Amino acid sequence: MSSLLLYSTNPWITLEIGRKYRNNKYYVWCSETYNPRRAQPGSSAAMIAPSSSPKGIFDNLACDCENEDVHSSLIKGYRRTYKRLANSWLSDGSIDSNQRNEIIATIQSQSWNIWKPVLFLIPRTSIIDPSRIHAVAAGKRAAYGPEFQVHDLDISEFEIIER
Amino acid sequence: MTISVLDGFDKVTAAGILARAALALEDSSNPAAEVRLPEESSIRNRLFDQVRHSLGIKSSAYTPTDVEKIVDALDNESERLLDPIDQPKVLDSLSAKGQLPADLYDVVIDEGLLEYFGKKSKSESLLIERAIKFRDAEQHFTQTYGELGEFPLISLFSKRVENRFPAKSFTLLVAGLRNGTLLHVSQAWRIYDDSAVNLGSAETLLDLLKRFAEVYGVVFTLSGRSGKFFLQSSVDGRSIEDSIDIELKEEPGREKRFKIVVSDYKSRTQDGKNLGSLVYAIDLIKYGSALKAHGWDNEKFEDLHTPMGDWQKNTNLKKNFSPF
Repeated sequence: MSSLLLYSTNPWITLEIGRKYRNNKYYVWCSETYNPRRAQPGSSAAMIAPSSSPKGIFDNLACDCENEDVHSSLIKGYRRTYKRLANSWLSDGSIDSNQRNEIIATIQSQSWNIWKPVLFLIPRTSIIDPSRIHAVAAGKRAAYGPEFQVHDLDISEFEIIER
Repeated sequence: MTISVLDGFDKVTAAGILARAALALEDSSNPAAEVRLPEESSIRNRLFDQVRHSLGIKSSAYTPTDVEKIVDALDNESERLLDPIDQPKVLDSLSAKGQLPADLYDVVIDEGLLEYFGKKSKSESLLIERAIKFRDAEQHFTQTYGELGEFPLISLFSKRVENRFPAKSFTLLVAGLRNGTLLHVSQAWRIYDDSAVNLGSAETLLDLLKRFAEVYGVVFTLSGRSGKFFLQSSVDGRSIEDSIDIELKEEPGREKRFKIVVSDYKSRTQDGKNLGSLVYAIDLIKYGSALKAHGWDNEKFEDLHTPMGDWQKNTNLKKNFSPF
């Protein structure tokens, strides 16, 4: 039986960029299990890689922010991704150059608040069309455990938990 | 590295192709990595080949290290194509819109407030800075607000401050003016749980400030209106402070002296009137008593109140105003 909820951990800036520039739409990786380490041993959920664990990502990101870790690989990765996204959105005309500059200035700033983790709690029932929940193919997952994606998650389809 | 595959494209389009290619290499299912241009798929393949060869990567079956090298090269090329941004200018503009991340403000605390804190000024300053940086809530006003004229760039922040003695826990409400990435803090009010200020029902920090003024403020008349809090009020010629008439009422069990601090963020309307925003007058004796009752006190506390002893005689009300 599939779980009632999907969990996705993202930095706060993801939420903000979606709100300000992407019409409240989000591309998310998510999991049916918040903490795979607490899953039944031997179950597929227990085989979700730490790098894909919502709790693992949440804890690591929170720790990196709390300690203001300038070498945080997670934050470096998010920075690179958002810079590419800003350039891509500028080139396809979905944002203007001021908005692109705002995204880049913010992600390159010294702010730690923007990287604080937020947990998206996605009730499956809020996603009317289940085909929008894509199971990630084995070769693209971090480990054997199942992972999912929603390409066009609307802000009305999830709740947010911040620490 | 110059990438010839991108010759003929303008810089923005080329940077977009590079960005989407890098996104695709790291996560091909990302919808943002989908091709946007008619020939982008083949351009992307040629791009990968060219970058791969220039980096000396022989196989197109990339290892994670190869991917990292290629996306770095693509990112560097994007960086080279697009003009660098003027980060301070962009951050200033975000501040003007009330969208700057709170931990990017350089906090400057007003002298008047520091004087009020006395020996506790260092610890209180730290508390204020933390309340801004790690705020529970924030609310910002922008220059277009109110349409009366230039509205000061006021920001409000609140932070719950827990104490091991629950009765000493409080919410710190901080107000300041933004100027680029500088935040000039002029007010910081502690609101204890057992105060009459109804924290729970305040939907915004402005509501909370109004409720605080309702409890600790005094009634005053300004521009023909009477109340304890005005979001905005404009006057001709005179300053807001000089235009305020305060009505003081003795209350049973209350000290028969007053020290009032008036808050008004000054600006001007388009027709040249003086405009006060967030105007209220706090009775510092009443507020100070609440602080004292919760164990907050300092050596300057009495000094600050003493000169106000004659105030009730109403010799010169304005002279005794000490707006932060």
